[in-house]
Amino acid sequence: MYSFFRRTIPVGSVQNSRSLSLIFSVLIFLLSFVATCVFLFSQGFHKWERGNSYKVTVEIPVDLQSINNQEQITNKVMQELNSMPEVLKIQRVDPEKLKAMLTLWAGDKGISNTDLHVPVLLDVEFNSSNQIDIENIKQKLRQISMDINIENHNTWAQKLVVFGKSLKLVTMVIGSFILLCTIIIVILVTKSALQAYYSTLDILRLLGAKNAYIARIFQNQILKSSFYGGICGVCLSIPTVYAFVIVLKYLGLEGLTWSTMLWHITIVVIGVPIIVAFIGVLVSRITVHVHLRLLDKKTSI
Amino acid sequence: MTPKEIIRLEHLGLRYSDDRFIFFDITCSINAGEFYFLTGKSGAGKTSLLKILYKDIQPTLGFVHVFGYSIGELSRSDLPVFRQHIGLIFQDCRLIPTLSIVDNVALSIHIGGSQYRRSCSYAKELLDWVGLGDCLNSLPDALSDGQKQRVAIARAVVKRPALLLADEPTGNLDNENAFRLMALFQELHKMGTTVVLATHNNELVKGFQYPQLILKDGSLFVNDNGFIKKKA
Repeated sequence: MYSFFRRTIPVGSVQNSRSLSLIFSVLIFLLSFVATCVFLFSQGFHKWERGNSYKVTVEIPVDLQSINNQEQITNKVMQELNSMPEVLKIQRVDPEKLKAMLTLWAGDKGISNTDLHVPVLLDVEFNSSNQIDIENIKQKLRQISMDINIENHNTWAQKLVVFGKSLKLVTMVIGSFILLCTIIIVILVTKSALQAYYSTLDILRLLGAKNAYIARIFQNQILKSSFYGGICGVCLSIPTVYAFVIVLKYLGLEGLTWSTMLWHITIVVIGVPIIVAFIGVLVSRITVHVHLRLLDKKTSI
Repeated sequence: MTPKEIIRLEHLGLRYSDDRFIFFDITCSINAGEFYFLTGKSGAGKTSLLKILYKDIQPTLGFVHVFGYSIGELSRSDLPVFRQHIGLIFQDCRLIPTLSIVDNVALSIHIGGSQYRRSCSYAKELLDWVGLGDCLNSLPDALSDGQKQRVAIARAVVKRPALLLADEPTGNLDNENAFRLMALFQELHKMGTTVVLATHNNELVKGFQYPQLILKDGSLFVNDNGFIKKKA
């Protein structure tokens, strides 16, 4: 039955469409890759944005008069923060870690000096469901000590997120361009076949073939080409995409669990060929219908 | 249009881009189950008249009724169904070169909605009947002109059309083969199909006792048993 359709108007044998399946496989490979990138960027930057947006660092500066005073202020600050309903977690940054960070400026000898006092840093995580008023928190804490400072991570994280979103947008534009290429290729191949098999088309219409019947001949062949192309494209994209994911994981795209990523990527890799096939079938159907309508107008039937 | 009429032409006229009318003011009717030869010199308008009947071209003047429908008012969506009731045979056969002969014949009923297997089964049966049972899977290019014409006839009759329009089906054949093909049309006619067969083969026309429609000087005449009058 299928071969009957295929042989009536062999779309794939038109001179410029012989490698239709190959073209589909390349396009599907590229689209799978781009879709994976969009997904990973979107997931990564979203978690990044969310993770940093609700975190601040409270800095309690060195009190040269009394180290005990700094400890007391720290305790009071922690008590104050704990009393706030929007605060989820408070974590004091390890002083050794801080010293290690200062090694660059103070050198090894400077750091080993026991007289070197470092500020106390508190990482504060807020409950994301609440609206956080940093200024209000700052005012409350400054009632304990005027020197307390709050570093809002959101300020710099926003710039990074904007960069991430731009990257995602560029990837989506590339994806749309590839999709547009797929649509153009399907239109050109269908039009070529309609021109090349004009006489067959004429016979079919004289025999009483409806436009939908003729469109089905093209649809079936585009579906077949995209199916074979899809298999090749998926075979190519799976190893590439997983290698890409491993690289991103290695580069420290935090917040993504393996199971989430693999699940989503599998959907992307399988979903892309189905979407491409659907679009291909739809485009070829519309192209045939438009062509036949124009033909009707030309022959003024 | 009476219930028996299958074709009715009213004041039909056709003119191409130049000002000359191919035919003008033709009014006639053909009843169901009749067999007519359509004759006339080359360029008299035989093919054009047949084309008007299956709505491949539009007449310049007049009305055409086929199966009771005014074909000028047939919508694009109704046209395929209308054509499915007409068997068409072309002078140049017009077989689909990429399909085997059995598929060429099966296609005709498959288009009408019949299942592929059933279509093939009917097609094989009919190709056997026209003597082509041993080359079912051959492509049209591998056949002689006579064989191609028989395939074209099989394709036209496999859907058991109410009306068969044949445009010079024997044009490329010698008389012996032409008479053989005529036997097929006779069989079909006996089964109740209305046949209009355009030809310029006078020997063929004389060999069979069917009335003759003659296109001459833009008018249509009928020659029934040697009595020529304007067809109405």
